[in-house]
Amino acid sequence: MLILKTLSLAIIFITCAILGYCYGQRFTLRYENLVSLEQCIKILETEIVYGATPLPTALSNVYKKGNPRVSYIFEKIKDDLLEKKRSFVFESFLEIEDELYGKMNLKKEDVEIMLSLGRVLGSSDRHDQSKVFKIVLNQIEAQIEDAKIEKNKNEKLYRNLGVLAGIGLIILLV
Amino acid sequence: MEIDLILKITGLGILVGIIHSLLNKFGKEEYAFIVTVVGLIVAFSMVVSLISKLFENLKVIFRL
Repeated sequence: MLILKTLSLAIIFITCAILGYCYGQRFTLRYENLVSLEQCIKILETEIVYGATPLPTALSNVYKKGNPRVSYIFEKIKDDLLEKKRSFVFESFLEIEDELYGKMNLKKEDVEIMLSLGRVLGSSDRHDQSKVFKIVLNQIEAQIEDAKIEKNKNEKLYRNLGVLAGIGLIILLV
Repeated sequence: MEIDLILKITGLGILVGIIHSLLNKFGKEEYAFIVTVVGLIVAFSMVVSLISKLFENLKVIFRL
């Protein structure tokens, strides 16, 4: 009986600790993904503005060069663009919107910035697009700063809270 | 006497204190306050039956 009790208490404690850890991890994930996304957009900028590569090839190159944890969405955009023969790139960007929210833990502002890039890509000349790239990169920079502050503030807090909540539950149950 | 209850409440008090200072440190004062209040309520709910017993005994002793 004692063993069973100890075991169940240990399971409760570990679950709480893991929950806290996972909750704290979301902030790190958002920060890392934003940094990778910035890199990918920089690669895309180089491809389009300096290389004058056609968009599907450029997107494919981003997928190959960027951090695969984030750059796979560019491959998805490319596939969607070619398979469904989209007339606007923005429609393909909308297709991956859920992916940005779900897997990558991005906030609404981050996703909006990404979508605003989709509105302009392939719809105007190089000069115009380079300006938009600059604005988007600036905005992402600000978001990264914001994510960093949030991460420093919350990550440790939620990890500690998880462990402490586990201890609290154990005290209440014993 | 039930020494277990005293130890339990002590543990709860220490824990709530730690959580309070942790939340305060990370700038979430309002949650720190809520945690303290919840801790207080939990501790009260643990001893409320004992307190009612105490009053019953007082009534009997002083014939009120």
